[in-house]
Amino acid sequence: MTSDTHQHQRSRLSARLSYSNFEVAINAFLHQTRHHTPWSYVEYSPRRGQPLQGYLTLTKLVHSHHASSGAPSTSTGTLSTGARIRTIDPADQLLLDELAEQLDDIPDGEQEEEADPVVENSTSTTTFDYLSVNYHIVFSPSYQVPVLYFNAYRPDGPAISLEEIYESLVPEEWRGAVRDAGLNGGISQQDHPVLNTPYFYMHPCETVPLMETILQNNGSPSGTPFLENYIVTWLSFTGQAIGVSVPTDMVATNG
Amino acid sequence: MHTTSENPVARVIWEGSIPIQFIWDPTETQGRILEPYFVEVPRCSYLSLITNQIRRDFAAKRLGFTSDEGEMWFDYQGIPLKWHYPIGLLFDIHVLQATSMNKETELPLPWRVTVHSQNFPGEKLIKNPTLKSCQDYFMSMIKEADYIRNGSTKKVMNMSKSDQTQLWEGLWSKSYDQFWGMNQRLVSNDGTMARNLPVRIYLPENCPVIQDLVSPLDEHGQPRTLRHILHAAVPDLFPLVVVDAGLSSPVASVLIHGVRPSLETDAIWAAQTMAYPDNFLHLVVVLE
Repeated sequence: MTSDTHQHQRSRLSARLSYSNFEVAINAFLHQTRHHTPWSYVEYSPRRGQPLQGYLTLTKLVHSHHASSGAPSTSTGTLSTGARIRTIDPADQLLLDELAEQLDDIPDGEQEEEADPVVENSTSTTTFDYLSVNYHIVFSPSYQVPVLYFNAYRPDGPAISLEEIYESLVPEEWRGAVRDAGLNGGISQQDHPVLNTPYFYMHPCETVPLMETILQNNGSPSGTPFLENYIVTWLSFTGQAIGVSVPTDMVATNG
Repeated sequence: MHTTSENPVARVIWEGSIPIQFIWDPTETQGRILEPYFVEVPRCSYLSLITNQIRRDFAAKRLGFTSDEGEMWFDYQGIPLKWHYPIGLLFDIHVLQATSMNKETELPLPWRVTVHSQNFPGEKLIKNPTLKSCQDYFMSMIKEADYIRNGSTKKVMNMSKSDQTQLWEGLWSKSYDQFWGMNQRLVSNDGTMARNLPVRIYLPENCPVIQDLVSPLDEHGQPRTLRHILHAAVPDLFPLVVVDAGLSSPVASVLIHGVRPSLETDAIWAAQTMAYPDNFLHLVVVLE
């Protein structure tokens, strides 16, 4: 890209993204993280005749802080899940088995500490004390920012409750703040905009003010391109609360 | 700008209702045949708002179950009904849109909906369909609509707590004046032009919901119509220019609140007058 293009790009910079800017941002992020975390690009057709669009996904194994392994927690009050047993697709099971083997090779960075399920599993061959967590980075046309959606499953199938999400993914020191935020930047459920099934998500209304602040402070003339670092920057704030983030060395070199 | 007393279309929409026949899941009644519960439900209401009535009715029939409101769910012909969608939207999608595709001629009223108190399908429905959750979703949609209009949620967030509550209370107590007394400012955007209009478009067969940005004006600064909006979203189904209008029948039409508005309807007017209480124009596309 020529410096003219950079100037043109900077003059149009905004914390709000068009969909095509989002595409640029996630592709840059994919490239940046290719050696660190296995984010994938999922392509889909919004409807016939429209160009394909995409979002990013990542599957992680996270040590469950749940007390009894295998059985869903008996929740009290209105957070009772009534979750159905969900059978794991064979392709997912393969992924889980591969991830379990490779756990030692994935750099921890600032991620939640992950216990090696093989070690955890020394006494039983059928119960693992971990969760499989899917993270999606999807574009919101209303707020014009990326949104972090996620779901977590026990290895024997059942989706976990909001309480287990807090116990397993949200760092203890964040839990109060996230709970209080509720639908204003905290965790709640919503229909995934592409899959149309329930996912947990971080409400995006805080994202624009956050990214605008960063944009204002990112002012060096030869400075690193805002758009190409958008996802790294955004995720380093948003993902912390729920167990996904960017390794510190990446943020440092691009910041 | 209309005042509440001059808004006959909004009033008619508010008073629209659907007769529903709630049938208890036979696998949950220990073999007993229970009389269904018939009720006329406002189109603008939500399933969570009538759950307690239904439970009371079935308790009166000595069903003897002890589920809490967070476990109840509904289905129509096997499809779980999203409790965070307005009831009128559910009917438009699951009955009117689906009926048109099957070319059935008789409208299935009363709407026969099955009630469950067990086995909540957490992979298909958002959990915890309580009154509180319903209120949260409702306010979340209103904030999103505000954001779409203004690029921030300042207006809604700066409303006093009691003003925000007035919207919800007006809805569940079915008080048009209480609701619209507060809602008029929001939908008319205090007289300023909205940046974009809050619109969601539902295609058949569980397509992802279309929620692209909808500008109220075209590139020449002229107000757009529903036809323009639908053409931008689904050009194959809604051509801009209708050739041989007398000879060819349209490929598709659009439903809102169970009626087919003229495609030449002004979009800004529609967004202010025909929006659901959650401030969105929920447009359901029907293939002819």
